[in-house]
Amino acid sequence: MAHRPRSPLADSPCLFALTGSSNVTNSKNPLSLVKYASDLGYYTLLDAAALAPSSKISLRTIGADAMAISFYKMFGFPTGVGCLVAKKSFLRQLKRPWFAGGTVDVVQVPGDGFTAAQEIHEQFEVSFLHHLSKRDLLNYPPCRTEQLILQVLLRLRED
Amino acid sequence: MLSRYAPYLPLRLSSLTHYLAESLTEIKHDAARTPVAHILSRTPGRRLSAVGEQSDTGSTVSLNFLEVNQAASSLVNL
Repeated sequence: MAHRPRSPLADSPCLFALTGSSNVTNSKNPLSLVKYASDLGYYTLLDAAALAPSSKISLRTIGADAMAISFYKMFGFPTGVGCLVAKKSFLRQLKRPWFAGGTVDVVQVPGDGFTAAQEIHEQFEVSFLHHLSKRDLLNYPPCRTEQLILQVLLRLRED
Repeated sequence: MLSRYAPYLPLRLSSLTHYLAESLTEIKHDAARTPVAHILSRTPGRRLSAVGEQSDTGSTVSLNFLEVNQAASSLVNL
C-alpha cells in the first residue's frame, strides 16, 4: 500500500481487495483503506461477504469500485448465491476470456466468433440464476430437506 | 424481511458475542483451575447499547480448547 502501481493505470491496472470483516479473526478492517488505495490509483474491491449481513454499508461513503456479497450468509440456503455490485466504469475494465450461456447474444457455429451481451452487467451473468425459478428453488435438495424437517416438526405432538 | 431486522442485528449479535467470549474465558478446569478455552480471534471492544450503533468487530469466536496442562486440544470457530 505504501507504493503506487508501478505503471500507469491504463497500461497495467491494479486491484486492491479488502476483506471488510473476517469470520476467522473476527476483525473488521478500516474501510477508509478503500479510499486510500483508490487515491493511489488502484481499482478497489470490498469483500463484504461477512460484513454485509450484520453491518450498515454505504457504498457512496466507502467509494469502492465493486463489492462482493454472499446471500446465503443473509438468507441461508441455497448456498453459493451472491452478487457483485460494481460500477459500470469498473466492469468495462474487466475482460472475460471465456463465455457461457446468458453472457452472449450471438455465437457463430462453426467458428469461434461471438457477440457479447449488450448490457455490460449481462456479460458477467451466467445463466444459472435465470433457471432458478421459485419452483426449482423449492426442489433444490437443501430446501426440500428444510421443508421436510418443518413438516415433521409441525406434526410432532406431546403424548 | 431482512431489512426489518437488520438494524437490530449489530446490537443483538454484539451482546451475544460479548456473553459467549466472557463465559468461555471464565470456564476453568475443576482440579487445576486452569482456563478451558483460549480465544484467538478479536473480541468486541465497546458494548453497544442502542439500535443503530455498529459493532467494532464481527460476531464470531475462534478459540482453542485447552487440556489441563494447557496444551491445545482442538481449534473451534463459533
